[in-house]
Amino acid sequence: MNNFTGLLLAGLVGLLLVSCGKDEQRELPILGIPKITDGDTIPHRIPDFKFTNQDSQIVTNETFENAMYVADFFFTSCPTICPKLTRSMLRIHDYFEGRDDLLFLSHTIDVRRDSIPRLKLYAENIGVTSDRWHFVTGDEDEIYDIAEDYMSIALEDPDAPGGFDHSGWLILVDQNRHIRSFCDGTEDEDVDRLIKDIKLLMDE
Amino acid sequence: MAAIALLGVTISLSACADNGEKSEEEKMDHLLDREDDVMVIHDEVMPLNNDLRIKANELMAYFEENVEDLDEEAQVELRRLVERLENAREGMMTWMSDWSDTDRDAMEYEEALEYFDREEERISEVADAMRGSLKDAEEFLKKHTGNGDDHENES
Repeated sequence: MNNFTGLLLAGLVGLLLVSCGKDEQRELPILGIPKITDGDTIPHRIPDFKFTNQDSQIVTNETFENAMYVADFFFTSCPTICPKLTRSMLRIHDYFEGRDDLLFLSHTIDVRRDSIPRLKLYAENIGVTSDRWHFVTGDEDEIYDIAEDYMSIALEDPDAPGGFDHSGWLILVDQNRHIRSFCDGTEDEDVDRLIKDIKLLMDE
Repeated sequence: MAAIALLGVTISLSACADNGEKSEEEKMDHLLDREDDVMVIHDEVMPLNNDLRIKANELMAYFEENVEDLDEEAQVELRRLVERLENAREGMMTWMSDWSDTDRDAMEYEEALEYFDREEERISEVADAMRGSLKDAEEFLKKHTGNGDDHENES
């Protein structure tokens, strides 16, 4: 084997290794139904929003300008699914402790009862003191409208449950407002998969 | 003789059990079962909660588009249906809030049994109101537009 053949062989092996690595490090797709405007396909994007968090601070898209986030919909008196959902959010929150590029956004769908003090108490009761996790309230219609937008990915998934009140989904959104992954927050294994997807997104 | 004595003890123990005296463990199991009975009713209808909001919005949109074509009776019926849908949804949210705010662990056995009986009745009424208002709203829309999703067979 001359030098040239050796180099070629080494190159091929290197290429193979890189290809394999890329296969494992798959890129997350952009989810949601894209818009087609003037022949251009525009990927789905989370629309503008403005809510208030447990510390009475205004939370908008700009809050997440330099960070990805996990979103969910809950209410503090929900007796069945939400406690599991919150435990899963907490698990992800604690897993990525110290990562300021990953934030959390929990929207209450019971704006009549879930006042700001009640959201604050809920956050404290589960041990959330960091400013990475926003429990927000706002105009009921705006919350429901944006929930439908987040859940629009359900239209692509025939197995998705109907009605986000009981869907239990956790949704991963990137810095560009694109939904990149989601999971059933009531299923531990599915949450594990989301954690892997978050790591992938962090490496992008 | 020993066999007769043993039989006597066994009969006495059975009699105690038949008196309705439950052990602490049995009481706890019974309370957990009663709690489940209540939650089963909640879980059956909770997925309809968002449908109530959607249906109320559909009715309101229909009202706004067709207000001039609807006679007085139909307008009154539509408003009443919207109110029933909203009340049914509010009824479920209030029930969950009350359930969440109640410290059931602090209750004595008898008190807890009465509580679960009461809540079973309350959540059944909420469930009936949810199913009933949805069904009537759909029938209204079907009658006036020929459309309406069927919730009749949903649990």
